[in-house]
Amino acid sequence: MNGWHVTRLRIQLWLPALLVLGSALMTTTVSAGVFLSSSDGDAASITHVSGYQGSNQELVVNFCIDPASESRQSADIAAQNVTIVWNALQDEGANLSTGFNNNIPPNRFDFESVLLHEMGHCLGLAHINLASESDLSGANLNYTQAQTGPNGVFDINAGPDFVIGSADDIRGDDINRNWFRIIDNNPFVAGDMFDRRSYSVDLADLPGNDVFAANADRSVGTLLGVFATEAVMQQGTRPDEAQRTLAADDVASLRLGMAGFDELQGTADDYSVRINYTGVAENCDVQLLIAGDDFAFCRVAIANDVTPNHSVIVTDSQQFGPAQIQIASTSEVNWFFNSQMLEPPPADPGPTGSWFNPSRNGEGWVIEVLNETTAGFYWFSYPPVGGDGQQLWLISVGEINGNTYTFDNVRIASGAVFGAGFDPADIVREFWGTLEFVFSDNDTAVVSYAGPPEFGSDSYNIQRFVRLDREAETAVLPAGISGSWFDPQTNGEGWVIEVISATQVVIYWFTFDENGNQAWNGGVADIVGNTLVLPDSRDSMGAAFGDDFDSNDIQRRDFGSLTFVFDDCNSGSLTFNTVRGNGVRDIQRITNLRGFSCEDFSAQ
Amino acid sequence: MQIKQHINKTTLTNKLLGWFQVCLMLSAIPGSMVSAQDGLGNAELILEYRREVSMVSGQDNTMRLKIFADGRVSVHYPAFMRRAGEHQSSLTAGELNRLMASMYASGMADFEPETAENNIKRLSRGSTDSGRLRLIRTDQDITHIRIASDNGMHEFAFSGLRGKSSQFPQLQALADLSLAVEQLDRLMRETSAP
Repeated sequence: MNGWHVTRLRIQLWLPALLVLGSALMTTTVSAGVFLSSSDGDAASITHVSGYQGSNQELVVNFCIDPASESRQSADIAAQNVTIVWNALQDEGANLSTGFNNNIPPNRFDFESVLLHEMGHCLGLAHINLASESDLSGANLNYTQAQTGPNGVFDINAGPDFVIGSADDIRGDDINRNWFRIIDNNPFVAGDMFDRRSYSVDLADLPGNDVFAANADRSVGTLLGVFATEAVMQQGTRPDEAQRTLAADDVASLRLGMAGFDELQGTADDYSVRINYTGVAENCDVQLLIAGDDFAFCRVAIANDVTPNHSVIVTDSQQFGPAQIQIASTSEVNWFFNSQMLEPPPADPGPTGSWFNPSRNGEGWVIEVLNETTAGFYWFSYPPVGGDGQQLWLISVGEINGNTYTFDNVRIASGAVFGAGFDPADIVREFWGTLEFVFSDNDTAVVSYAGPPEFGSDSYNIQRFVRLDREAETAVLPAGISGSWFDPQTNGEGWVIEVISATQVVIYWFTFDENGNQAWNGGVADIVGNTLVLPDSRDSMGAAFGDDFDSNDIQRRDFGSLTFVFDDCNSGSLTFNTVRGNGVRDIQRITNLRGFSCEDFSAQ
Repeated sequence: MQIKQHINKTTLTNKLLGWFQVCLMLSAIPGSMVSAQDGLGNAELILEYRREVSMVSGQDNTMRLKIFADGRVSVHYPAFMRRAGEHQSSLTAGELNRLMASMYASGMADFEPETAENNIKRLSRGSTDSGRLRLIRTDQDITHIRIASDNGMHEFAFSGLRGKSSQFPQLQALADLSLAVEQLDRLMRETSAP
């Protein structure tokens, strides 16, 4: 493709792409935490979310309200909000509000805040403070989570600053369980890496003169100049207090687990977690029951030491059943049920965009993530030596499983002719082979394929060269117009639109030549009102597929002009004036990309 | 040891029964009942049960039940609960006798939390083997008990009684204590019923 890649894209695409990448890397979150499995065993033990087996994948935790539950309707919004907050996994800063700063009446406890805490437990997180399991009481519960040492009792001394849970606490032979940030032991400060290179439970790794791991208790926050902030996983809630978002420490804890068994971020065993709230239902991984007079608890089974120091939550055992959050009946506790529903954040668009192998400059892959489980791709390349035509494109829709995108039914089409004579009935679609992307991160991957004998099989390291900008504020068109489009009258050819900034989009046209062979062209268009103007769409030819590919063989030419005019998010027209002919297409949207929303706009 | 304890409990129970025969006579005259109770305001505390809600901090987080030798029952619920406030009731001699007999039969007056915890650790040891499942219950309430015994008030605190007793049903002392505490929970609810 890189007729336009080498020229305009290199200048105009790489810059915004890098800027977007840069801002993603700057999204920082923080600090330490404690895991459930460290309670009776190794203090460094990490608990992973149910379903984790050591491979890079998205772990889906199905969450529902037990049909036997009281107050099911009242709890629904809280359950949705808690799902959104844990899924977003963002440090929202000050997360405690009281009095007129929240909507909770006096003397009521906020159901949503309590549910947020218990959900943390059911994801594998423990209290950051000693809490009630220590059998201590009062303020002593706020000391940093630990195990008793050889003397068999908790050694508690707030140290010179008299603040319990801070870095100068004198804890005798207590064994720390709280993962702390090695660089500063500050659970309220942002970091950008969550693994054993940055966090430790070993007190020998403490910085400076610190003598124990600090925890994200509100008093410690105040000591450090961070106000109205406390980890959700600190045990204890107060009446008329809302704590409905995560603190840095909560985010860091779960992310530390997501670094996987090797405790290294960015490796092949990393995983992500997504809670899937299914409303009132049965047979889910985490079940919420509102009943009885126990204030609140999470009951969860853990498979111990699946690998050394790593345990995994089990929610499908016959012995213990699913994880359960139980919260007291409304006839026992004066709960307040929040009625303000959070706006769900847009889903992560993931690898949606355009990719290429730098040593094969001139061919590439366009990936569209459609939802949590489905993605599509286009591969624009060249025919094998001796093949028909001068260009080639392959297409498929496949399955997403964690970082692996599998396409078992890659298709190749031919037969229709470009322009006015295009007849969908002429198209022959054939099975071509299989293809798989394995993503290391959002910008690098390995693509492997196996095609017919003349195509063979191989794998390449690829990297992103187009990142879509879903926040792009264009004058009229929303970034949500991105996706695949087609004209039902010429079903078999189509256009891919990728909004990359407020003023520019990348356009691909996958079609056929005048002989019924595959053809493609494209470029970077300007956004003008509700119109995309591409005066110089280009196509490339001369190279061959697979091992015979050589970038130097590629000849690029001006193909012609394309002008798209959009009526709304789902329809518009294309006027083209090209070397192969002129015409107009009435286009309709065919794919909606995950993470992109398109609100109707008025054509101007 | 068990025989001796049984005798001691029986003796104590008989003493209590004596107290309540007196109370019963007084309560036969409704008008004098209140004054009789008032007059016995200093009656001996024979059982105190507190349940500390570990998730609640920064305010009163404890439900409390007091049972006096004269049959008076006093219940306190903290402000965040529907039953918030102080509640009173009275047990008949027979009711008190049966209740306390049940408490002593449960082993409450001899319960040693350290022994229970050691037993739990012993049983848990196998569950820490690689891959073995173990159950964790978070945010468990703390049960505090003070009960009259031959050696004065026997007092202890135990965290997570409900969860641990259901997790380790083979620990009879824990199961018995849990059942006894359930009885006290019921009495609290009855006392605070509208």
